Amino acid sequence: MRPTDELTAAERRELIASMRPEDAEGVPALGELDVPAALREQIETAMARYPQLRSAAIPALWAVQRHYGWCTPQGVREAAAVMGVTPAYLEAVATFYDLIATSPIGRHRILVCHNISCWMNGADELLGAFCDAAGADRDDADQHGASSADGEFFVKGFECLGACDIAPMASIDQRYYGPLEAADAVAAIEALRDGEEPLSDKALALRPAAGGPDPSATERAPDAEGHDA
Amino acid sequence: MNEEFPYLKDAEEVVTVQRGPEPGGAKGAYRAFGETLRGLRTTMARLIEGPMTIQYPEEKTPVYPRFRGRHKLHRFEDTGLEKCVGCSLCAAACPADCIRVVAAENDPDDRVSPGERYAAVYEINLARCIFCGYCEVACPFDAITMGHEYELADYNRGDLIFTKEMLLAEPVERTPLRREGE
Amino acid sequence: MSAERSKVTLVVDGVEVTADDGAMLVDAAKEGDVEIPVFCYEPKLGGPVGACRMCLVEIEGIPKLQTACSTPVRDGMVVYTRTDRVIESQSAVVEFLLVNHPLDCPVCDKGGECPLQDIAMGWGPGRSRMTEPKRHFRKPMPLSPLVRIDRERCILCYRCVRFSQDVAEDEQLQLLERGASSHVGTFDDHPYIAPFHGNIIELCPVGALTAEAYRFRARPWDIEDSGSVCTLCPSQCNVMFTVRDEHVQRVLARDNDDVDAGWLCDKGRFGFQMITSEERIVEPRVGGSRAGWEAALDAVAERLRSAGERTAAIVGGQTSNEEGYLIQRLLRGALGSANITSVDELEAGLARRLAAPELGAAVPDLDAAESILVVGTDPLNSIPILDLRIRRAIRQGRARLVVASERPTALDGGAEETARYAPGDAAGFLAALAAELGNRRQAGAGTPGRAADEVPGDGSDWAEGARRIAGELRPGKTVIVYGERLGRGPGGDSALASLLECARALDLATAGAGVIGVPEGANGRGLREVGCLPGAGPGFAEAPAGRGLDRIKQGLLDGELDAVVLVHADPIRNLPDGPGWAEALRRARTVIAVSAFDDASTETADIVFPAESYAEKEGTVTHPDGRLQRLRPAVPHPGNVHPIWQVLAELGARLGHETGIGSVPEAVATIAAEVPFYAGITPEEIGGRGVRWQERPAASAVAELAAVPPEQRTSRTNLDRDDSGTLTADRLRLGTYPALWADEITDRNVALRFLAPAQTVELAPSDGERLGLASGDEVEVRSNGTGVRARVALNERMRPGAVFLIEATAAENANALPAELNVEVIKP
Repeated sequence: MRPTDELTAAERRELIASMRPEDAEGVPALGELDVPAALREQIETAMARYPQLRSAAIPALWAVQRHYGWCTPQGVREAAAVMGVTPAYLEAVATFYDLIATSPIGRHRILVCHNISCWMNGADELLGAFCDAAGADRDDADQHGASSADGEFFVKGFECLGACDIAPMASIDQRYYGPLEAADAVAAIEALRDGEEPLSDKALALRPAAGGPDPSATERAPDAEGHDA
Repeated sequence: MNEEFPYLKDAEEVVTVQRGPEPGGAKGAYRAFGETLRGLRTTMARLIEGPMTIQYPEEKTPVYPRFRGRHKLHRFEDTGLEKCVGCSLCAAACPADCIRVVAAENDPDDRVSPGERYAAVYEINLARCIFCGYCEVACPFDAITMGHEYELADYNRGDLIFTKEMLLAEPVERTPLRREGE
Repeated sequence: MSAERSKVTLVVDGVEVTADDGAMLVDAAKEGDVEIPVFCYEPKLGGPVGACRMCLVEIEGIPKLQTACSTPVRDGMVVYTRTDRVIESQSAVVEFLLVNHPLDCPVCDKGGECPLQDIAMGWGPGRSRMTEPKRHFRKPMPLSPLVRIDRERCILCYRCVRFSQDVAEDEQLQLLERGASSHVGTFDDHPYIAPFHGNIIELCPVGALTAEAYRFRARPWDIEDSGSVCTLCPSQCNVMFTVRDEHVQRVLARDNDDVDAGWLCDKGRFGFQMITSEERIVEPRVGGSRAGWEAALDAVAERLRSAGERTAAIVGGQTSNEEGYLIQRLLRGALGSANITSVDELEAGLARRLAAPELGAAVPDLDAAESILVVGTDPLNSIPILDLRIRRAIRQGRARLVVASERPTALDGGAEETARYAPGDAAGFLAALAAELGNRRQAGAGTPGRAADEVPGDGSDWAEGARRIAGELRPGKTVIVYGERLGRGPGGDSALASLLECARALDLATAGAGVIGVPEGANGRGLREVGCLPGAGPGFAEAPAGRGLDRIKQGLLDGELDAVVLVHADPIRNLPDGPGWAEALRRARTVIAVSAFDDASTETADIVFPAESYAEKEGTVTHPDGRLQRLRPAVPHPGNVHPIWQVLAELGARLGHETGIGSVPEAVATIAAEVPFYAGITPEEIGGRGVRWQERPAASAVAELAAVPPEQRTSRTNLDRDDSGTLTADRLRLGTYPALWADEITDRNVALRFLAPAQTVELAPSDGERLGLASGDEVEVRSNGTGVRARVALNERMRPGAVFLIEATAAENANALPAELNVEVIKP
């Protein structure tokens, strides 16, 4: 038999002794948490929008992620208190979705599609270029995503992002860009570092649609929910 | 109604055997003494052979390798950990209900066996054991086997309850093993 | 209900089967002795989910295989459970489940009683094709101090998560992550601690959730199961003791839908350690030193003989009917004393009227009721399993819940309406409610009443609360769950009288409706019915008036009483005015205690008899809804413990009062002969499921039960309470409540000790602000010069002006405060 990775008896005793009945996370009392007003307002707006309270779970988690950068335990607890559900329920939702981060991630999120169309057009090289430019671990990026050491970037190879027409493509801070080459990755990272808008010439949102108005004329602003364009 | 055997209800219950003619002379003598003589021959042959008694306990009968004697518990040779995990399957298999296992949880700092569980108490009541070997068959880890020891008499029944320490200890090999072809 | 259902006929594997219409195929197949394997199907958890796919069967006319657990039967259905297609799918499902299962059966605690083992043997492919490494998690981690989780063994059947979501409704346990990394867990690795969380151990079909206390203790072939009843609280859940080597190793639920619906609270499940505790009293003691039974009985007989009618007895809730009967007979018959009472004493006339059979609701009536009124109790603290029952009734959408209480309850969240009255105001509130209901009854439902406004006192908000509550109650289809604590204190009698009026106004003397009283002691109802009540003998028969609890205390203090017998009772800890009791017991000439453990009261005792634990007891108890249930001994008595009934019968004999009772069945027969509504009951009739006396023919013999005029009241001394106590700005009104984990049981079980609460004072946030207190502050609650130190907890649902302390905590007991309504909360 294989020896298992067990806690030692002393560690286990310590762990058990540290468990107090009040540590169990029921529905947090709103009065006992200092929920930021802006966050609370966003969650309450989402709650008002749906007939079922629980439908607001994802918008609430988005709001937490926007506010704190990722779904911090404290943020999840605050959202749970506003919604009147247990934080465990929100964590179950949050851990299900790849786009909701339950551990700290870099500030700019770069998702490189590596599904078949992009892959055939060189997504692997593109992901590698992004990783090199941002200083993120290539292997981790392929698996669960990797953040750069400076905390500026989060790079992740992603399953289909649904934009085969611009393959190979990437989503940078929830905007689609493509088709990209390795050099674009370096340029994009540099632009982001300088606080500029990256790759405006390759942004899907800025491409003229057939017969439509020139989108470059309109102001770019993320929509309230921060959903992908 | 059968006339010869009137107490039988049905004649069909009687089977009549046809015997041959009575032998006479030499044949008759053979019939009378033949078997006796054959018996005597065996007796005489043994007389010549000399005594066969094994001088137990100075001498011991060798046993076959598969002889089922006193149980042994085993340890892993490399790590020295007990093979037994205290799963109690031997106790479940035992038809004489003579095995008692009380398991406990291993502390990885002070392991007794690999895995989570070990036998804190392992007792076999050899006064009850019928040496069927089912425990050996049931054991998923080959932790218990039947040894060759058969000298188990004692003055107290209580002393016949063998504890885990006794079963784990290397037994004094007092019983000779029968060699190939012996 | 099930009898009224129409029947359908179907064919399962060639066997014609008749089943209830609407039954699920998996249940119907059992009628034809066909077993369909299931993992996720568990009717206790609510509707089927069809998640595990183990129960796929072939149904003629349906091209795809169907899940038998979620397919209702139809007439003429033809089902095959062993065709090649079904067998192939079953082996595929088992193979899938075993892909990540470690197959460590020899070390796994579930081995031998594991549904996964059984199903893999019976329906699995028999060999594994899996050569890849399996998924690994860190090995058995504590999920709480009582439960360990081994995620490697988990087959993600979702049962525990469903329990947490749909039964206990605490939602602390969730399925986290997705796909191959899915696992059961809690938020941020917090422990899962909830009053019922032990049930997930029993629900788990594999060894993923194991009890800390039962880990590696025994295999199914090492143990004996022994069914009995848990008497740790009035829920009286049916339990199965797992016994190995004459020790209780585990307590499991013994499903009885009429009592507990198959669940146990953690106190019942893990509260067995005290049975084998080293601290137990196992020998009689006279004057503090060990004595033999003969010497102890002689000493007691002599002292009681000299005390004679100046003797009193207090019986605790764990006492069985037989013991209760014998102790009252000892006092009334042998000593000529009428001073016998239990911790659940009620005024005799009220007790009679509240026990009226047509008024009593059964626990299953909660399921069908249209409205449920919980008043004066928090079921979670006092009768935990009813909390789950009421939640289920609401969840199934039939019942509307209304809660009226002085303190916020755990059920408030599911209630349509809640009303909060101030501590000590129950009588006023109930009077307002009775008036409102009476008014509505006269005017016809839906018309707002006026009489409630005329109730005297500062009842302006009572009227408003009563109106809201009354508006939700459906006449003839309501079950009222009330705390018998309402009967305590000066306004107690009128509170219960008003409750009876409410019941009358709501026409609750009909089938499917009624009242359930929640006593303090586990067998509170049974003890009253067998005569442990001052002023009423067995079956509420007329008896000379005796002293109640308060007058016993007074009598001991004044020297009017000489001896007191405490059976399973610790008045110093558990009754209001503990210091007063301590003084009373100190002054008593003789204190005789029957107790399993040393406590404050046994310290004052001259003679202590060792008490049996509930796993050793033989006898009967009566559920708050009138169900008689049998206690059967699971383990032998430790040390020199004798059955208490035997001790009491022997004492009677020594005092010249031969009872002729030589065994428990004889005691049951004697009770049956003396209590008219128990007439003819035998242990065999009670059996393993219990029997409600209201449903037996003998119940009709007590139609006059309620007709006894209410003026036959024994006088109860009122406490010197400031009855006019109105809510003023600087004075707060004190209420106390029994918290689930604040009792001796928690202290005596090592595993449960972490749950024992520290004294907490609950305040409304507005009061906290006014006094400058925040949650977590250390304060002292003072009244008449005595103080109790406590930690502040602000609770938004509290009524302003009221504060609450926990009763019977090991330290800083709220019962140590004098019986005084008004208190001050001071920062030391």
